[in-house]
Amino acid sequence: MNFFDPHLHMVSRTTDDYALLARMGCVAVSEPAFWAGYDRSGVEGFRDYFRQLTEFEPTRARQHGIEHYTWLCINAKEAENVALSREVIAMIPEFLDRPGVIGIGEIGLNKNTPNEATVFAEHVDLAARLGELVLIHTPHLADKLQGTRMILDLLRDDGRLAPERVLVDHVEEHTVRPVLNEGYWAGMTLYPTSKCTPARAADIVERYGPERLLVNSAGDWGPSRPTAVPDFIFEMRARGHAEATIRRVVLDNPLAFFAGCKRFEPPARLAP
Amino acid sequence: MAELAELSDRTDATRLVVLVTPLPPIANAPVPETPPALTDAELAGREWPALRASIIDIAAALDRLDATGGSESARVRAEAEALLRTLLAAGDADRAERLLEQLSRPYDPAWRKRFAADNPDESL
Repeated sequence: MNFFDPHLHMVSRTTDDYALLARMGCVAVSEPAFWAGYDRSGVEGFRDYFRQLTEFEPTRARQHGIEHYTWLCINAKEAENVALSREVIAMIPEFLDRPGVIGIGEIGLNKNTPNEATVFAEHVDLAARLGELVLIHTPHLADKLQGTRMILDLLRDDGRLAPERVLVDHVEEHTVRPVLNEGYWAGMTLYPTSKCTPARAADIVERYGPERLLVNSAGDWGPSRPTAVPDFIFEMRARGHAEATIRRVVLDNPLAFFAGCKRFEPPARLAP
Repeated sequence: MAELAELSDRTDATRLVVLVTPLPPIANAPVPETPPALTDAELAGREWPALRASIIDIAAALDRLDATGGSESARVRAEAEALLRTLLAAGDADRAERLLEQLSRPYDPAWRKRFAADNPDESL
């Protein structure tokens, strides 16, 4: 089955992963800007990173027939430095018109601090002013519930982003309901020991239905499996779900959400 | 974001906090699709091996924690046992959601006021 992994940090993965993904049916990935494992020393470090995301990775992906899309931001872990964050936010528009750039992300909260909230709100302002889609990272572990609710508060406070133009990622059983109730898209990240497993993601689809739900691997430099979306496909099949239902979650929904970006061109492999 | 970063935060994150702010009721929830086609026997047969293995893993991990006799191991064991009690008391549904809530810091609807008090120069 063809699938679209809407959250995969390919800068942290090998070319072998692109080859494997292509053989498993991956037609597209989208790569949010994230934390490199260390704090960058200045705005030029982000400029180099944005070039990697918009120049090198799309080329590497295309060699395996995979379309590569990307999101730009300064991530929440580095948002404690508000001055640097503002420099990065001011630079983002230079890159927005590049092919494959989908919007602003993954913005969000990490430890739910005032500085993180300030930088999140300024990213939202940028997206609202420029009409960009938004991809949101929700915090880890004990901070997720509080941070997700704060993010929903901040989006409501701003009020300019239509819910259908926002994807709130890393939802679990205790956060998916408020995200869907407010009309946002919700992403379930399939990780080996935290966030969701393929089985729990399938449980959530069974409980809430496939509407506005996506699954992703969030593969990166930590413990993660870039082939987690195929694991979800097999879990859904083993439970007897219709192919159309599975395809909706792993392909149709990401395509529908991404179509909200005025620059979005569907993956070439899906052309009639 | 990277799981290593998550795991590095675990010391703080594993602190138990009882959720005091209930989630809002389901409103305009999407309509669930038709349940999957597995029969009762198929589902039970599929789930049992992993369930059995998981329960034995928990028992063995508690034994290992006991064997150390250390205070940190005792703290982790107590937290695990509190979660197991929640699991057994959760009734017939939403067990995962209840456990995740128990592992979460509480949401304070007045967080903006708290931030404003701490950072009077910044307004959100």
